[in-house]
Amino acid sequence: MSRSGAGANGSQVDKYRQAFQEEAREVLIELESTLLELNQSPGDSELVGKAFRALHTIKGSGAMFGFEQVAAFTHNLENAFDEVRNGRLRISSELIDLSLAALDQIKAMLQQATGQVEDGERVADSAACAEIVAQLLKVTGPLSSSPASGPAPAAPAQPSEVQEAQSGATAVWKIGFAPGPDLLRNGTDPLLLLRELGQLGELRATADLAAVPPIAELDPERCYIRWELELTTSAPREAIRDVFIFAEDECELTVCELTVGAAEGAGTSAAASVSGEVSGEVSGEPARRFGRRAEDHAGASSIRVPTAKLDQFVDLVGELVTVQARLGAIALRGEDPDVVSVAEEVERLTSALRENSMSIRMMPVRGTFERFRRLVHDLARDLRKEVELTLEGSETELDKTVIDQLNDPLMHLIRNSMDHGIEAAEARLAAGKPAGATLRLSARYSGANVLIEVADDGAGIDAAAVRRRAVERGLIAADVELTEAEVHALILSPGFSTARTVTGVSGRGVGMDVVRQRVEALRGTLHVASRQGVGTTVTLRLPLTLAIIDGLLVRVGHAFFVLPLANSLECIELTRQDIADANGKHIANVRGEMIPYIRLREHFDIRSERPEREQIMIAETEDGRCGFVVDEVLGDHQTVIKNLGQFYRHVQFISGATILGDGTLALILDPDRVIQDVLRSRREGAAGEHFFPPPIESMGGGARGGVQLDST
Amino acid sequence: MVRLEGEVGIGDALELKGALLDGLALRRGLRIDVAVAMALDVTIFQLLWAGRHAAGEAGMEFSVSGPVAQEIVLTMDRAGLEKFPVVAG
Repeated sequence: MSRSGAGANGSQVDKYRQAFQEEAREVLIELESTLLELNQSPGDSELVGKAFRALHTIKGSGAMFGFEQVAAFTHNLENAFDEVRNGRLRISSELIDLSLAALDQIKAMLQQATGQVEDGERVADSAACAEIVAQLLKVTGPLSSSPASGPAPAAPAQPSEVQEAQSGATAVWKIGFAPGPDLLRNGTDPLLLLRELGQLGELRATADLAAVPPIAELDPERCYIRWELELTTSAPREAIRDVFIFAEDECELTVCELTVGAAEGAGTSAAASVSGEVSGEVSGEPARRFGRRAEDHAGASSIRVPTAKLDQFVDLVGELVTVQARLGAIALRGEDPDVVSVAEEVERLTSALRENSMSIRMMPVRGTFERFRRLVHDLARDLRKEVELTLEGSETELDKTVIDQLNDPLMHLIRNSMDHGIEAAEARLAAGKPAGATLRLSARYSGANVLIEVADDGAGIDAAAVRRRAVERGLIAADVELTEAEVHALILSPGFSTARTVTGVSGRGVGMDVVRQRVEALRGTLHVASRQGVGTTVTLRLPLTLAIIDGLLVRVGHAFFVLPLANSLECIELTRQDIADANGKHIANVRGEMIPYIRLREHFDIRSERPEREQIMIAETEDGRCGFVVDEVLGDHQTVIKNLGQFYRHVQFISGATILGDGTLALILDPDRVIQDVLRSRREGAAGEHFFPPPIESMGGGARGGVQLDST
Repeated sequence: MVRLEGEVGIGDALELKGALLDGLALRRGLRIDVAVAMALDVTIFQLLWAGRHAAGEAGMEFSVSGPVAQEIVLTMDRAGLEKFPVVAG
């Protein structure tokens, strides 16, 4: 029999390489944030260590998975941060800018390796890489372990050759290393770690194979071997730990000092122990087993799932919800208690499954928010403005689909704010403001929505200038009366821009309109609040999810509608007497509160006989409380949102459609848009008439003020 | 005989396990040819060790034919792994 293995299996290697690329991208995003934080706090040694470890991970894993170019290039940056870590180099804005430029190149290298460089994406530039390396060497001075831009070492190069040379203290370390079950599957070869460890000094290894099971039971992708290692080195404990940086979550590791040849520092002198005995306390901390990490890992284990599979899963759950509704309807018609009981159980399980699948799709906005640190840093430099970005509510979660589409609108808002809103330092000082501006990016929950705000303390919107511009552009008549909020809303009009000079940052006159369209495509709304001289706040109201909502099913004639339950407050009866009492005006008196209402029958021109008693579903909307008059409220309805397709994309007051248990189609209404549609119709019919009183703007705490309905 | 070629690692481990089990099932002993192998990772070493152990328990011969690449010898030394008795190729 003859079997041969010509290197690693291709698909397996591809899988590991892909996993590395995905993880490296995440590490790079975090690293970028760390660098920008370091720019603000250059003395923070924790941040320095974090940056170093991230670079070490990218370099080491890159070399392991065949990304030699990435590994070699990252090595230079890692060396620079090793110098910082060891106090031989100080963090400077020059080093941060070089590091950020290097990160861009690493990202481009990773992207190129996938062969999927899209339009507008950066391509790795070897000349730029060489320049970055040259500049880094200027900053750090020549380093013995810098390979410049040459090929990467076969194994991850150890970072602490310099440390060893400067330490001068030799110690013997006893290291216990037991790879966890997933170490190999995550692409770490323990033998390469041992090789790297061996580069720190003289290494003696003893392999313990006692746990290797009989071959028939052996999982070939798991490492069963444990090692007892003895390392004689002058490298510090930190350097030993660094070798295991990208494995320590996947292994048990103990590092104990046996002897200390020379004084290593105040922290270790007291712990220098008798030769041959393991010191339990070295460097001021107990010799610790990294078993804790293994336990943590067991509790928090996770797997990566392609997003396409996740989308498919949610689609299937959506279909199940629809089928379950049909089953429920059939069970109720049949009146068989056994069938009803099963249908109720299916409903309960479907509801739990739906909740579960939705929670899987939810992601914190942190990843998106953190990316803007870099944008703000670069723009501030280019525009010569001092801007500090503060992030709030980064842990707020949104549906992945929403998050994926949030980047461009937020980027545009931030660019606009930095370019047009925030003044130059001199202008700010002249206005009695601090030279440094603050840009706040925040997220918070609001019912079934998330509010995302981009707020600056800049010059605010010049309402008079906006109005003049709108008249010039023919967007409004010169004599039309507008509230300040309506003037602010003009900046969301297509082609509107008050910027007289088109800059590379913004001011091309399409930005805010595009932002509005993008946000509305996500079933969200955009609101601008501004006060001249104080600042501007743009608020995005976004639904938590785009896939399934809880709704209230209502009927008008033969038509069915779903109103989002999150907006619904209560249902009350509307009699003909009530209508007569209001002198025919569309206003209901709800416990003394006058609430305007919209009759869906009239709005959608549904021709059927009006019942004697109608129902008003009172909803909380952006513009205050409003009623929607229907024939009958049928009850709660879990709604799977089906897109109505391109043909109906301009019908904005309909969020989508859903299929009822009996196969009937129901339209999902967007209450806010229905109101806007009514307001628009009324404006066109009678200029100046307001369905709601004008909103009261507020700055600071929120985007909008309250709506005083009783003043109508 | 099982011949290992080039760099053999985790991607080949399942196939190697199958080959070793096949060899054990045939009860003709296991002979591993590493003459053209350049590097082995830990999965391969532990499979060979388990194969050797299983062969010994079954009273079968287990041998490795070389020459063994210097890189493999160094790796085994560094990792404290016991060397296999190597026979001429």
